[in-house]
This record gives sequence, structure tokens and C-alpha cells, in this order.
Amino acid sequence: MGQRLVRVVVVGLLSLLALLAVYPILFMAIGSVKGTFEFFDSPLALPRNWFNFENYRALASRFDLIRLLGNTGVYAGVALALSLLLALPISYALAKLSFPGRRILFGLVVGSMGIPTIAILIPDYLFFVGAGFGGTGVSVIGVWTARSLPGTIFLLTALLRALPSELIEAAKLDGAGYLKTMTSVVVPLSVPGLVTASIFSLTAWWNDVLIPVVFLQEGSAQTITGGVATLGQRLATQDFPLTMAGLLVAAAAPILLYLLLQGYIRRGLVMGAVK
Amino acid sequence: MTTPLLSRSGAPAVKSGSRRRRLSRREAVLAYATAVPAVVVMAVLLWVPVVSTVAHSFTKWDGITSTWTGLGNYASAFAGGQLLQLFQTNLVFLASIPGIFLICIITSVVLWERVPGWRFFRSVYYLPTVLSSAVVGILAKVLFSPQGAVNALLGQVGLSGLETDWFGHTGTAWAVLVGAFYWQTLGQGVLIFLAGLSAIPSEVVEASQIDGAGWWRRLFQVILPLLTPTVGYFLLTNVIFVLVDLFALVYVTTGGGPGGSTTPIDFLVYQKAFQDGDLGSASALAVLLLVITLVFSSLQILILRRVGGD
Amino acid sequence: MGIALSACSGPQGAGSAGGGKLTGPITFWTGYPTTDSNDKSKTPQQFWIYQAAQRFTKKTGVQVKIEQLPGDATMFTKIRTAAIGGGGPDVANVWSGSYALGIKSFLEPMGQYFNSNDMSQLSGWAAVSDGFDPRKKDTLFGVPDGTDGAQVLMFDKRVLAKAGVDPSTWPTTYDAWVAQLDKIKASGITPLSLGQNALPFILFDTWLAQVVGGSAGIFALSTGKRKFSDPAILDVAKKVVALRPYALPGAASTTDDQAFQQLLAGKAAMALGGAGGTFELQQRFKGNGGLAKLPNVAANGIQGGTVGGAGVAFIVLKNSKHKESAVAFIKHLLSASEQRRFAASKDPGPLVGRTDAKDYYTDPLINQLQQWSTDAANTFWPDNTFPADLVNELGAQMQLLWNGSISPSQFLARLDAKRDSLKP
Repeated sequence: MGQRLVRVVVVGLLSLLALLAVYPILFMAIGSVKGTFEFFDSPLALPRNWFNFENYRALASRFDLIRLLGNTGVYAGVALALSLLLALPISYALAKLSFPGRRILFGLVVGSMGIPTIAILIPDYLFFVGAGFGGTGVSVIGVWTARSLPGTIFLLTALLRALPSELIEAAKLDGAGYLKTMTSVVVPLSVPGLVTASIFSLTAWWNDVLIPVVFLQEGSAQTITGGVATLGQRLATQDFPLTMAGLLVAAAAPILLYLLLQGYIRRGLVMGAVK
Repeated sequence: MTTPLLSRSGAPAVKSGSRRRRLSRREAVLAYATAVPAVVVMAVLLWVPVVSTVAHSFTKWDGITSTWTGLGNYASAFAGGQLLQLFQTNLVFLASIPGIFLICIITSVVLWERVPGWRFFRSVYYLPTVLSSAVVGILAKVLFSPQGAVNALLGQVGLSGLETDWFGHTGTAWAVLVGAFYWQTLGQGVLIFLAGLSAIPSEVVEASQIDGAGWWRRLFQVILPLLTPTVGYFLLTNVIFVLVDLFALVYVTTGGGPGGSTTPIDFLVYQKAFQDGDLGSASALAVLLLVITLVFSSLQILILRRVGGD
Repeated sequence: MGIALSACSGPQGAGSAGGGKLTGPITFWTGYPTTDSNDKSKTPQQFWIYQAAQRFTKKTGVQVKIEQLPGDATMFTKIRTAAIGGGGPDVANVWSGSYALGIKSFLEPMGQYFNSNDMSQLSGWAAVSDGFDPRKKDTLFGVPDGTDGAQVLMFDKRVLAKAGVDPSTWPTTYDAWVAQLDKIKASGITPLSLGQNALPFILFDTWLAQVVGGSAGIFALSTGKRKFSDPAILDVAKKVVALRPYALPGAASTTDDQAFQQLLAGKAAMALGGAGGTFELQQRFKGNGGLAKLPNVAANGIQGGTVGGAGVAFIVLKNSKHKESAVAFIKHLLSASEQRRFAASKDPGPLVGRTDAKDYYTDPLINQLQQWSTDAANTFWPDNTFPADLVNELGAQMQLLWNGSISPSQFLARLDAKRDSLKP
């Protein structure tokens, strides 16, 4: 009897917590189909017309959301490809090859994990401006790649160290060169590590406001999160329902991705934390 | 110098030693060649910039010309013991971490022990985590605006005495910011603690399905020690987060207000640099942050190293 | 290319000379609002500013890329960030006075592009002059963009009538006005909706300008010759805080757009504003909008004193590779024909500031605002006069004052401390 009561209370509390977790998202969805003055009249009420899409239409005529999403996809895609391509060889070298200065190099990589973005922001900004890439996606891709390299290398190195060297030796005995060894043995075996590193990098980039806001001044080059932070903020001073519509569009992509790829994302994230 | 002679002499053992050496030299060359691209990128975009920031922290700098001012920028950062004040917002967040840690760990253990549908809850709790801080921040701004939903709700349930200008007072502005941080972190915590719990042998957890005081004692004395790596990971990632990553959330939510009192250090660096155009002072603050985060991240590495099995 | 142009037509002729080849495209960063909460189907292309840019392209062949600027002081952070990196817009319209002069090292001096005939057609040049002396042409760092009119109380006459208040006999003393607020409050509606900028930069500054005797006093405060800690100013600060029970909650963190929309939504009887909101006021209240000056706060201050004027200016960046086109674009936007179109569009934004603007508007409220803004009792925006750091401090400390975190005398002491910490 007591046990059952405890369980009811516990499930009740957990459900309340779940409600707290999703209510703001529902509020956003409901608010996005309200009129400006309707929202003021009572922010909590259900909308008078569930199919009032005026805010979405206004949004579409003001912001090229597809373009912002596209920018984000391109920047993140290129940066991800670059960071994995750069990180895997050096991680393999740090894990499986012996060379003078290995400990120092590893120490430098590890130390670089703690560099806050703000400590490199101004020189990097001036560097890309000087190189003629001021205000372009190239600068964002560059900084994103560089920022994610130390963590990615650290993770992959730790993983590759745990790989049995016999597998690699066996491939070498079969006459496989460096490239062949990498593509046929090392890469397939590091997939879990690559997935985890990718999830960490993509999450960081998706959340990033500082670099897009400083490096990208023109709306047409902006990322979706940078766009939300600047244009969205401007809207929020004028029109709440229109802002809600914008936030929902910006939130839709990651929510859908999460719902589709839940399993992978969870396994990838957990790998960094539990072992 | 004698090696060539000896090897020419054809002694097998020595020959193999030389081959090994040649092999290891080839291996070293291969290692350098494959490491160079990543090293160049890190050198150009991380290491040189850090050195540049440190160097410019001793100057007055507008982005083009810089003049040496010695420790002037640091002196003004430390002047009147205002260093703590500069880091005030970061410290508030730091102090809030035990709270979200307890919420996460208790929720996870309760879910694990008693709720058959825990997978559903885990997914729901994780939803806010996938939103970007910018979205979460603006949402908080709308919800807690003077005429927003939170005040309206308080009014409707008869608590209109609690209605307040959330962003007009430092204390409540911090509360909203920390609330947004909690909202986004719950999913992460529950996710990794559940994973940690699932790695604990089930007999240990199930052996003592106790209620009341015993339950708490078991939580702290049995379960938490078994979760040490996970707990360490959770605490350190969040400590680093509140030190270096608050910009996005604060930028969109309070903009540092009221009266600049909720400005975290990275936002302050940004303001000094791009609002005031004082890149030298900005660099000095960035260096202070760099030193602090290096201390914390070396701690993180110690822990991760155990995780990585090095 | 600047040299080639001046060889054929001289800098002043840029844009008007038929043979001058203007280069482009140019980027224009602007804060002109392009949303209408009464009609969300209106696209940015239906607003005057976009159409005027298109007409410029048609006339000159120079493409104009329009980019939105933030509506608050962070507009300067955005411009400075881009300018430090050698980029930024070719032309922008930003807050005038000390705000714009704060980034003057990145700005192209404008005197060389405008002859005295050009200048005589526009009012408000002092607002873009370093030292507020437009006669010195080398100190001009912008071009005044219209006028904000005078900043006054706005209301729906019908709402006031319901509360038993007759707008035609408006109280002129603070006490009489507060009595009127009491009456409105008793009728069941919140009397005031205030925003976070209106609070320091309209309400406080209007009365500040009244008690310090207008521009001269404001200058003395901004140079530190005069102190904020002064019995007359303390009285002003106290009178501001005393209005709190009459205002919608949360004024200190409500944006000014939101505060104005509260008025339009019928949540409050009055809001503060100038040119920006008048058309929307009239549209929403179907011609029943009304305007009135803030009361006189002291018997020996400027009677009927208001603040306002040319609060917005066009600037051209030194980094621009198309300065001639940028200037031609400014001249195009401010030309009589474009300004007539702007006036007719009723888009939000500053009022026409051309000196020939007598018959541009048909709405009596607009003409009233125009007239008040040219009265001697009107003081140019104090926040555009104070140093930028002092303005930031004023805004920040007003939040704390309004919410009761600091006392009026602490408030003024902090302003003095800030003023004294600024290097000359």
C-alpha cells in the first residue's frame, strides 16, 4: 500500500517535471498562431484560430530561413569533414606510431582543449579579415574546425590506443600500405569514436552564437542560430507571436533530427561519459 | 659513426637493429607527415592567436595599431577588488551546478528503480537539450517578460503577489537565466546518469529497495560512488560550460542587464572589444579566463584520462 | 574612382551629374521598421524604404543591398565589429549625436559632399556635428535623417473621455497631471505604459532638460561642469519614481515597441513617443489619437519643455569602396520627391526633416508634433548629447532606480561618478 502510494507520488512528480520540460515548447507552438494583440490579451489562452498562419507568412517574406538553414548545413558539413579528415591521421600517429616529440604534441593537443573561444576570437577575426575572408562562411568553417580539433583528436587517440595492434600488424603483413591500413582497418574500427566526436562538434556548432555574430555581419551569410540571436532578438522587441513562429522553425530541425536519430545520438553521447 | 661499417660487415643482429632503426625513422617521418596538417591548422587558428591575445593584453589596441601599456589592463581589471565582480555571473552559475546535479541524479535513480516507462521520460526530458541556447534564451525572454506567460499564470492562480519584473532585478534575472540553464541540462544529466546506472550490476541497485532515510543513504553511499566517472564528467563539462559558454544564453535573454549585472566574462570581453573598441582590455580579460579554464580543464583531463584508459 | 569623379563633376555633383558613373553595389544597413503588427501580410518590399532603394537602382544602375540593423544601441556594436574588420555597410542610418560620433574614426566626413545649398534644405545638422556646430564643415560625420518631432504623451481620446478626462484642457503642472492620472486609474485602466528607453531618455530627460535650462545645461552636465547631484535634478528623479504606481508593471525591462503596443492594445491609457508611432496610433484608434506635452516639473524650468529633434542620421563608412554612390543614395532618399512619397506612405520612421516640409502631412497630429519640435522650448535629445558611456550608465541605472534597487540620490551620484570617470 505504502509502496504503491510512493510510486504514484513519484510518477506524479516525474510527470510534472516532464510537463515543465515540454510546456515552453508547446507555448511556442501555440503562440505562433496567435495575432499580436490576441497574444497581449491573454498570453496563456489557446489560439482563437489554430490555422492562423499569418506569422509564418510574415516570417517567410522577411527572412530567408531556407538559406539560413542551408548556410548552417554547409558550414557544419564542411567543418565536420575537415575536422575528421585532419584529426584521424594525427590521432593514429599519436596512438600507434612512435616518434620523438609525441608526448609534447599530445600535451599541446590536450592543453588546447581548454582554450576558450573568446581567447582566440579577436586574432582569428583579424586573421580571416586579412586573408580576405572577412564576413564569409570560410572564416566560420575555419574557426569551428580549429576549435573542435583538440577534443576530436583526444577522443580518437584514446580510442585508437585501445585498438589491438595485432589487427594493424596483420594488415601490414598482408602488404597493406598506410592508406590501405587506414581505410580498411582504422577507419571502420573508429566509427563509434567518429560518431561521438561528430555529435559533440555538431552540438557545439549548432549552439554557437559568438562566432557567427562576430564573424558574419550580413544576414545572407548568417547561420540559423546566429540569425535567431540577432534577427530573432530584434523581432522579440516588436512582435511576440512572430518571434514564436521563428523560434519554432529554428527548433524544428534539431527536434526532428533528434527524434529520428535518438538511438545513435544517445549512444554517441553516453560513450564520452560512461566507461 | 661506426654503424655503417658494422652493418656493412653483415652481422645479422646488427643489421636487423639498423633496419628497425630505419623503420622507426620511416615511422617517425610518416607520423610527422600525417600530423602536420592538423598541427598547422591548430597553430594558425589556436596557438598563434592565444599568443597574440596574451601579447596584446599588455597594450592599448584598436585592431590596427597597438601601444605598449604594460600591466595597465590587468591593473584596471584587479582595481578595487572588482575581479570577483567581473566573474560574478559565472560564479552564480557555478554555485547553481550542485542543484541541477541533485535534480538529475535523483530523477535518474527514481526513474531507474520505479518507473517502467523510463525510456519515455528520458526522451521527453531530453527535448529541451536539443534546442540551441539562442532559442531557449529568447523563449525565456518572452515567457518572463512583464506581460508574459509566467506573470499571467501567477495572476490566474491567485499568486499575483509574486508577479514581478523578472529582468528588472538582478536576482530574478539570474533566476531566469539559471532556470533556462537547468531546463537545458536536465536531459543531458538524466541521459548519462541512466546510462551509468545501467552499467552498474543490477543486484547492487536492487539489493536494497528501501524507502525513506535508507534510500537517501544508499543513494549517497552506494550508488554515487559507483557512478564516479559519470558524475565527474557531468560536473566538469558543466563547470567548463558556465565558465566559457554563457555568451549565447545571456546575449539573447538579458543582454547583460539590468544595469550590466548579469554579464558573464565572455560577454564582457565581447562588449569591451566590439562595443567599446578597447581590444587591449578585452584581451586582458580573455587571458584571465584562459588561465582559469586551463586549471579546470586539466582537472577534466585527469578524469577523462581514466575514462580513455590511458 | 573618387578622383575620377571629382575631375568631371566635383564631389558635390555626385549623383546629380548625368555623366558621373556611380559604382556599386552598395550595402545599406537600416533600422527602418519593416513589420506592421496591424497587417502582417505586408512584406518588406511594400515599405517605402525598399521601394525608394529600387527607384535609386533604376535611376543610377547601382544595386542596393538592404540589411536590418538592431533597433537599440547594439546597432553600433554591429557596425564597429564589421568596421574593425575593414568591412561594414557603405551607408547606414543610425542614432545621431554622440552615439554616431562614438564611431567617428570609422566614418567618412560628409562636409565635402554637401554644399551650403544642399545643407539648407535639411534641418538638424547640429546633430551630426562633432561639437554640435554645423558651421564647421569638417566636423560633419553624418547627414540628419528627418526629425523625431517632439516626444510627448500619446493616447486614445475615447479612453480618456471614458475616464472623465478632457484632453483639450491638459494639466501643465506635475501635481495636476498626477491628479489626472489618479482619475484615470480610478476608472479602471492603467494610466501609463512606459518602455525601457522612454523612461530615461524621454521621461527623465524631458524634465532634466526643463530644470537645467535646455541645451546649455545638458552640455554642462555632459562635460562634467555641472553635477547631476543637484536639488532640482533630485526632485526630477523622485518625481519619475513616483509615477511607478501609475505605470504597467515592468517598464524597466519592456522594450519601447512593446510598451507602445500595450497602448494600442488598450492595456494602458497613455504612452510616450514621437514621430515613430503617430501613424500607427491614428490607424489603430481610427483618427481618435491624441497628443499632449508632459507637464512642467518646476515653476522655474523651461515651461512646455520637450525633447526630440534629429535623432537619426545617415553615415558613410571610410571602408566603403563606393562612397560617391553612398552619398548619392542618401541624397536620393532625402530628396523632395522621395520624402513626399515617404510622408504619403505613412510608414513608421522619422518625420520629414526638409526645411520645405510645411505641406507634406495632412494629419493635424503630425503637424502639431512638427511644430512643437521647432519651438524654442524643445531641447535636442539629451541622450544623443551625453557621451555614450554616460548614456549607457543612465539607461542601466534607471532600471535599478525604477525597480527600487537604488535611491534617487544614489542614482544621481552614480551618474556623476560615471561622468567623472570619463577621460576628457
